Amino acid sequence: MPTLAFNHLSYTYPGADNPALTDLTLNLADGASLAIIGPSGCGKSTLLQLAAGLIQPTAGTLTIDGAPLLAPRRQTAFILQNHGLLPWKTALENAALGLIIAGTPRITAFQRAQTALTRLGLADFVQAWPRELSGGQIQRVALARALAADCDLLLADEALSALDALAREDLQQLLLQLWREQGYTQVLVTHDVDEAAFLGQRVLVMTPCSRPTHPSTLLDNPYMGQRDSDGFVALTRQLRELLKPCPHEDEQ
Amino acid sequence: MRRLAGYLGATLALLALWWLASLALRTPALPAPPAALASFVAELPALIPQAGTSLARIVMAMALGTGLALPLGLMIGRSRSLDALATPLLYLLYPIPKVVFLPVLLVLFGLGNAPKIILIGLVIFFQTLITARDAARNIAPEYLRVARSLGATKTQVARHVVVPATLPEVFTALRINAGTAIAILFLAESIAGASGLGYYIVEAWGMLNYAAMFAGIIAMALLGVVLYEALTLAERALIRWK
Repeated sequence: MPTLAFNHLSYTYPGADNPALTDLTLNLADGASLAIIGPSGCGKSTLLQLAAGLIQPTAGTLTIDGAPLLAPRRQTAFILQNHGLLPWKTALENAALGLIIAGTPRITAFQRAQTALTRLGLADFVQAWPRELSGGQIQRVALARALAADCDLLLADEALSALDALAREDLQQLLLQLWREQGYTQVLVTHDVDEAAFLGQRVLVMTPCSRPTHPSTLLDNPYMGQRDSDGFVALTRQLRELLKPCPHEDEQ
Repeated sequence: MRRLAGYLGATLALLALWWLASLALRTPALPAPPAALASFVAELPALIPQAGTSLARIVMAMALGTGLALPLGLMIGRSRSLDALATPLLYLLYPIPKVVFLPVLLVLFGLGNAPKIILIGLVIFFQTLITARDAARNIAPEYLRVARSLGATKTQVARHVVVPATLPEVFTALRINAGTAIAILFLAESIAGASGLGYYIVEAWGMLNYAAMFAGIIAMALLGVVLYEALTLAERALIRWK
C-alpha cells in the first residue's frame, strides 16, 4: 500500500487570484485512513484532485512511495458525490471500467467486477443502468469498481453526502469494513463531522479561519468506528468547535 | 403498435385536409387523394427505382457528412486550441447557403450522383460539426474526471465518455439532417438530374400530370418515414441507457 507525502503543497487554479491550497505538509502512512473536513472552498476537493494526479501542484511536491505523482495512477480509485458512474454503462460495465482501461481482458474484467458487485450486495443489479439504482447502490457500484481494480489508494470526495441518513450510515459501515479488510490507504473528504470521526484514523480540519487556506489542525482519532463511545462524541464536539467561523473573520 | 396507430391517424388526418383543400380549390394542380393514390399504385414500378436512387444518395451523403463532421466536431469541442482555430472559419462558412455551390459542383463533377451527394453532404457536415462540437463542450466534467482518474488515455476518454455522452445530441442532429437532406435532394435532382424522385416530380409537373406528381410527393414522404424510422431504430439500439 502506498505512502503519501504532501510537501509544502500549494495549488492555484488557472486565472484565479487566490490559491485554493497553500503550503500543505502532511505524511500519510501505508494503509492509513485520513478524513478531511472543512467548509466549501477551503481546498479539500483540490487536495483530493492533487492526490488523484488529476492536477499538478503549482508549488511543492506530492509523492507516492517516494516518487512524484505526475499523472493519475491505475491503482487509485476516486469516488465522487455525483456523476461517479457513467450513465451509458451498466453497473457491471461501470464496475469493470478501471480494469478495462488498464487493459485487462474483458472477460476477466467482467468476472472480477461481478464478484465485487456480488460482494457488495448488488448481484441482482449487474445489468441495471445507473438511473435505475438508488443513491446508495450507485456508491456501492463505485466501491465495487475500486474493489475489482484491487486499488491501493481510495479517494472519496463527499461520496456519501447526497444519501439519506440511513443509507449514509450503512455505507460508512461498509467503507470502514472494506478498509479494514483490504488494507488500502484512504483519503475521504466530507462535510459531515460524524462521518469524519467515524472513518478517519486522523482528521484534517481545514478551517475557515485561515485565508489563504491552510490546514489548521490535524487530529489523531483513536475512536474511529466507535460511534457510541464517549471519546467519539467528544471528538465530534471538538471538530464542531474547530469548524466555527473565527470572530475576527466576521469582523472583516 | 401505438406507433403504427399514430401513423394511421396522422395519414387519415392529412388525407382529410388534402381532400378538403382539393374540393375547395378545384384546380387540376391539386388532385383529390383517391386520384393521387391510384396514380401512386399505378406508378409504383417506375417510382421504386427512383426512390431507391434518391435513398442511396441520401444515405451516402449522410454517411459522408456525418462520418467527417462527427470526429472533427468532437475533437474541436474537446480542444481549446483547435476550437480557437476552427470556430472562426466555421462561423464564416456556416451561414452560406450551400445550395449556391451547386453550379460549381456540377461543373466539377458533372450531372451524376457525385454533385448531389457532395451538396447534401456539405449541408449535413456543417450542421453535424456544430452539434458535435457543442455536445462535446458540454460534457459534465465529472464524467471526464471518472475516466481520467482511472488513468484513461485520450483515446479511452473519447471511447468511454465523449462519444457515448454526445450520442443523444448527435441523433437529434441526424433527425434534423434527414429532413434537410430530403429538401436539398429534391432541389439538386430537379435542377440537375435524370433520375431520382426530385427529377420524377418535376418531370410529371412539366407534363402537367399532376396525379403522377403527387404520386412522387407521396413517395418522397414515405422516403422520409423510412429514414426517420431507421434513425429511431439505430438510436434505440445505441442509446439504451436513457
